[in-house]
Amino acid sequence: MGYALFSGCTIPSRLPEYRDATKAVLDAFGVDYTDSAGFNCCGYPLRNTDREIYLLSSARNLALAEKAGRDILVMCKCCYGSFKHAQNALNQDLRLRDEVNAILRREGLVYRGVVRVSHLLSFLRHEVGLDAIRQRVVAPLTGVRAGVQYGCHLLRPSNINEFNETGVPEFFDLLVKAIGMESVDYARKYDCCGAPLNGINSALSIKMTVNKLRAIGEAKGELVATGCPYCHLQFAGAADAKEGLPRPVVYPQLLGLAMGLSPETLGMAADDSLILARACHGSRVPSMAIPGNARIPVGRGGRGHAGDTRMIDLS
Amino acid sequence: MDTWMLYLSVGLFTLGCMHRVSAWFTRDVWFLSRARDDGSGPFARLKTFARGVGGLRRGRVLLQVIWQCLRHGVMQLQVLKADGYRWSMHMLIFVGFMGLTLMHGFEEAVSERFFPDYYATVNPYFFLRDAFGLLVLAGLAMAVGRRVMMRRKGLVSNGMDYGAIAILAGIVVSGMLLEAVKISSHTVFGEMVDEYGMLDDEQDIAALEAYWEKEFGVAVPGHRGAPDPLQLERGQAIHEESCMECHADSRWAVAGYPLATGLGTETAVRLDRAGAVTFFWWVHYVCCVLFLAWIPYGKMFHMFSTPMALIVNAVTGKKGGKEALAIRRALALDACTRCGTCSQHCSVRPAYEITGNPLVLPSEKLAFFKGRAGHRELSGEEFDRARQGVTLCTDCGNCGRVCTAGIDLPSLWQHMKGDLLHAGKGDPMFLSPLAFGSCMEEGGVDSQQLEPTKKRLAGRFEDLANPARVIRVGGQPADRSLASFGIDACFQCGGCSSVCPVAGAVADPRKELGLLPHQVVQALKLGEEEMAEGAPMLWNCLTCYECQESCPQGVCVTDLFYELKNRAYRRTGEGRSLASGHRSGLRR
Repeated sequence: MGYALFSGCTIPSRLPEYRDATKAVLDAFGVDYTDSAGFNCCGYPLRNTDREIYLLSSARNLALAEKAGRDILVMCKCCYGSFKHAQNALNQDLRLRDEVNAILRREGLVYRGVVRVSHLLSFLRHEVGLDAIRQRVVAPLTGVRAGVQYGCHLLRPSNINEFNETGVPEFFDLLVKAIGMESVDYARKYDCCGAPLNGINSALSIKMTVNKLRAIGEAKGELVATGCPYCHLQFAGAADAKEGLPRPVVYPQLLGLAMGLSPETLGMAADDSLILARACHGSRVPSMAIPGNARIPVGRGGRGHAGDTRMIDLS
Repeated sequence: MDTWMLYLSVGLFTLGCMHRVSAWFTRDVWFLSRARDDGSGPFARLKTFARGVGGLRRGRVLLQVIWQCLRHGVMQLQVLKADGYRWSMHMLIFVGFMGLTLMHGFEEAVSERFFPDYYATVNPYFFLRDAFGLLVLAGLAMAVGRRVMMRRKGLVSNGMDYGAIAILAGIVVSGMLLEAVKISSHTVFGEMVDEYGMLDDEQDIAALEAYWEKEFGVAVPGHRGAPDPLQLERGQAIHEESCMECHADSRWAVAGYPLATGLGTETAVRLDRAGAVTFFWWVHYVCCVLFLAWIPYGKMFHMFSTPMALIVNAVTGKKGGKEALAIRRALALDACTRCGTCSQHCSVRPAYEITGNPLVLPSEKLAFFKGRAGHRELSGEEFDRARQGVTLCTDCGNCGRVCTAGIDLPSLWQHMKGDLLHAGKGDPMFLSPLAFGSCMEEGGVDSQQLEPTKKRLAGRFEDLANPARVIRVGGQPADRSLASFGIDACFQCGGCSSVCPVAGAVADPRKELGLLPHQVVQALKLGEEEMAEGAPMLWNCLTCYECQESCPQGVCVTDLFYELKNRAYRRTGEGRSLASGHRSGLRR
């Protein structure tokens, strides 16, 4: 069974490079996926106020994937959490499922509950596997220290989201280490990025984000590895506003570079921002196989922040 | 009479066009009219436009405009890229109707001037007229098919969409019927013989008539049995001598001829006597003048406004000051062809299925605001519905990406959300990740602007949370269904509050959050549901599930918070207006 890539609303409009990089990496691993399933919003933005619209939104996507005979591969952690919650609700309450299906039937869809939902990071960790990743790495990002952002809606609630790893989660750390980077331990590593409150209580939201970024900086992290548009844009916004904070990079871009994919296919303009590797590590790691002029953009803040991309000073 | 009607129609057309074009320079699309004045008045816009037109003197710009005309106006590549079916449909109508208009409608101005051999009854023109008509009909059939078949897939149609199809079909079908009755009409045959034939001999005329009856479908009254082969031979000779040069074989009228022969001799004769030729001529003529007069008042104006908008966009790009932006926005309202593709791709279409509010959908929102832009303030339920439609947008940008008229729809919605928030009239739905996308936009959400909205949701929280107020211990939760979140098991260890990152980040939790998570649960256990729903804690919750994850008693704290927020939203006017009436949703 192949996958249907679920980009959601935020990635296409504000972080298209995340999708580009994801597709490049999936292509490189020969994953069977489609990117044209006609999905709608996962419903996450409506959970606060209208559970019905939220559930129908999620259910419609799940039904579309069922019809296409594909599992859903999600790139956003908030979409992921919403799908898992909706699946759980619709599988527990069969009357609710009937009501949802009564609406879906108007366009010939039905939710049966047979589709699996995976997040890109766990897909890479468990379906692709660390060994396969290590085998494909040709230009390890050796020595780069990253703080990973697990993200709340990916991990919790663990009984529904199925991230019941014993003890603390480590899959993202492992993924980062597999491409030669170091994953730093920092305070409040498993906490929320603060994005759900941005716009509602922006001051509080940014405060929590800055606290996280500071903690990563204090642990000598040079960047934040992300796997969610909300986390990513939240970090990018905070780093734009305050000098000297580590900037976010979406994990598939890091992975793609380590696999020797060209920056262009990863949604990075060659002259966009920093040379993660060569300029900074050229002296330390002369074998770095990153092309001469390749520059790795770190933490593009999406629309509205154009031109704010900066070099990460790793020296 | 007919000229009089034509003048009236042309007059209406001209007035309408002037009205539509003037709107490009005067109209603006605000949610709340005059909410913000950005200084892009008519004179500033006219000046900008004149400067743009002046720029055409430069060859490069002129070439670009011509190229864009070809690309968007003639070949419609933007539609081809989006949807092959739609392109085929539109091309059939476009080519067929343009062909008919230029060759047949304006035969004096176009055909006779540019084609010296033009004559309506001579090939290829004789054949082309029917061929063009059939192309239009094929395109219209595809259009009806699309509207009916795609209804299930979210295509929304209104009266104007079907009206446009009907009037085009009316023009073409009445033209074909007119042709059919003319072909079979004995009267018309007689008139043409008189006018062009120069035949004096009764025998000759009878021979020609017999020949035309057999070969070209003229219905001759009083049938005289099988024609005499000699007479037919003679008729053919006369035909070749007098008619053939200026009149092609009627069978080349690929639509009219089958219709004419399909009538049968008797019906055709009766129709001819009843004056069907005059009748269908009038029907055809009235359809045409009605159509012309209607163009600037309906969606068919897109034949001018859409290429115009696309060309302006292509030439100016996203550049230009606020005047250029205002022109583009006003043009955008006109450029919509009501193809409905945006609404099919709308990310929040399921919200339309539940609320029944069409203003959730971009195409309907555009039509709504076009109807009212700059005219009047919205009020009451209309305001709520329009606001809900604008607020529910997740900023995914799909509508803008699929729009073949190049309308920057997402920026329109952002613009309107900004209006609402600046006026302190934000929908409570903004207190959700919907605000995240919007706060990234220039002029979007500033969380300070949501304070009035938060106040509405917090209800009487401060009264209710007054420490001096006596709470009766031993009361039951107001709604037992809240027990399904496990609140009965809570023994107030405070674990949820101690792991809450929000509680840890605020300076004065009591002032900023009202109640901490464990206190929200306790309030419910005491039957204080309204107090729990009003606690600012709920609207500052990250929904990070740390509390739920760490609860030793298995209380679903975060899920409970979601439910309380849903209930608080329903308590507001917005929630109620949503819940009542057209709501066709799930049970709560």
